[in-house]
Amino acid sequence: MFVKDGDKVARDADMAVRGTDMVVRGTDMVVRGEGLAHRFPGTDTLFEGLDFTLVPGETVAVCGPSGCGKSTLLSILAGWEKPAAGRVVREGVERVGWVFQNPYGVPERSALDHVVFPLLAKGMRRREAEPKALEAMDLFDLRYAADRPFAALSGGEAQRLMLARAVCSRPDMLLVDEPTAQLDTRTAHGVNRVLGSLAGQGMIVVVATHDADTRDACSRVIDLAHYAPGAGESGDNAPSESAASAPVAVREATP
Amino acid sequence: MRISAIVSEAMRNVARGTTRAVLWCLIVALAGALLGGYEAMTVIGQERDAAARIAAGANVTSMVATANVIDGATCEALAGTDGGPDASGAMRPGESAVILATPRRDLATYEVTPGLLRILAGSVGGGGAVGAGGASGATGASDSSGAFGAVVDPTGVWMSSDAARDFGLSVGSRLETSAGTTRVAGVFDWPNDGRDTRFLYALVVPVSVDSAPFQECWARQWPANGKLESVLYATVDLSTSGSAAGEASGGGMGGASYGTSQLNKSFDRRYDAASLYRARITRRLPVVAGCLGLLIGVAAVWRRRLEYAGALHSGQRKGAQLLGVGLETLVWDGLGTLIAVCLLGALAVRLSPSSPELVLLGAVRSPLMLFAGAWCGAVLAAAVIRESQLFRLFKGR
Repeated sequence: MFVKDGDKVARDADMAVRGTDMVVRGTDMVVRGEGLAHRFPGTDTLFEGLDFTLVPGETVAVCGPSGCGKSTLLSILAGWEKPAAGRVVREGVERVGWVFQNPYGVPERSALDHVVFPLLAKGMRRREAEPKALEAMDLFDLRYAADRPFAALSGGEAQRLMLARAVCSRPDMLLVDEPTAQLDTRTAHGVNRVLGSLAGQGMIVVVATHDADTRDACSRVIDLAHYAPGAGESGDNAPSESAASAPVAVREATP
Repeated sequence: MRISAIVSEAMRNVARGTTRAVLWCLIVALAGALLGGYEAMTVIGQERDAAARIAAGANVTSMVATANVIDGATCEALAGTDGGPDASGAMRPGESAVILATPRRDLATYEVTPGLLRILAGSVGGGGAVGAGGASGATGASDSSGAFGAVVDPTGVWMSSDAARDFGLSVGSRLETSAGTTRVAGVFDWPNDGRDTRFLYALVVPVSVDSAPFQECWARQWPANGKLESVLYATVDLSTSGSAAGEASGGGMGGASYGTSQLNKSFDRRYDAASLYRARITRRLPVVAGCLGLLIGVAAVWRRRLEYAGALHSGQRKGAQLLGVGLETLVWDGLGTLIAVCLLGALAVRLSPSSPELVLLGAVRSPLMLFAGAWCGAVLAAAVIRESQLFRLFKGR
């Protein structure tokens, strides 16, 4: 049921391009941002002229300095916020899932129970759901903790559990907001290591992060710094979707 | 979500402690037992007051005249009429008698009809009356339903247990008096608890109802229906005394005056057990219990709103969630209520002087309302939880 992305993150430029063109697995799902811009009332514009296309099969990192609008962009993608300009077109996206920077769970229930639950909600029997849940936990290196109560998990383990639960929940679009913000470097590394497993699960995956390692764990990057007001004053073309999906070599050239 | 999955998730939540079932069960049991217990003790208190009144003869009302104008047959016939007293009898003073064994001590004598003997036999401070004619006397204070009590023996004199002890007499003893020899046919308890003391040290002589008119008609009724006093007036036959005169409390003109009185004047004459019960302070407790249950149910669910919002976000449908909440609540709510009802049952059996089942039936209303309120509160609280609350919480962070 779950495709294990053994190649993890696409760090090679060619891989990044290939990631963009990855097989959509026959799904009609696509999310397009067209000329997006946003500002909060009374504040400066966060970003403008943002165009992109999101399809299943890749993990897209939205990065930028603190306060540049990463989480706001996720809210816009989810439909919670209306952009100040432009629009978001969602095709085939009916359910949006979230993974927040604070993992939440039922302290007394086991890690496996948390991942089984979305499968039960879909109508599976427990004896069918548990093996599938364990497969998902495998993707995120969590099988060893299956029987532990949620309260006994570390921050990194709990965050990975949220990812495994999200995979079993199978939303059409998964928004991951700063998954490593609350974690120390070591545990953040454990999460980044498995982030690539989200790719290839048939979902559109967007990860907002200011963590460089998290960014590098994704197959594609949208750097909001390119879309800040005045980012094109040097005479370069305004940032476009092509810039957003540029090979990593180009990304690495930008701060 | 399959029903089996909903049930298994609910049971796992209960078993793993997520539901805090033990805590909520104890809260429901305690609240239900306290509220129901307050109601039970109030009713038991009223029952005990009533029992005390009965035991002290406060349920006996009399028509008292200053002359012999009471028709004995009419007085006796009151008992057993529809809405009438459960026992009634007439009495008049007789000649004093000297007991030959103690010539310096004479006893007052009262002539009574058999109906009044039944009142003496049944109106007891916890003891009873013993009559030679049959089984031991009335069941005492608990005989408040109007039973006639013992089979009374009218073939000899009756006397109080205090008098019998002082004279060294018992049922069947020969008694030689200045008026002749007779036997003691019955002994009754007549405590000094505020009741009319005339029978405390007297000989009670049974006579026929058709003999001369009497001076008093006694009637015992429980529960009182408020009509006894007016019924007693029917026993007055003024034609037997020529002219009659009334007192302010009764009636009559001229010679004899008459009016109603109580056997035990130390109790409030205006006593209505049914009204007291209806006006009891605890009558609204079931409503209080229902509201308290509602709060408990809401609190039990609201503290888990993040969990429930997250479950909705994971794809659980609202109906499945409500069913799960209902099942989990049923476990601790039902168990807590059962514990409360058992405790109340034990309380009622242990303390109620007469009808523990009626006390229990009244007392369980509070824990049952608490049960219903808690279950409804839990389900209603779950019904208003939305997936968006999850987002608001994290957006706020």
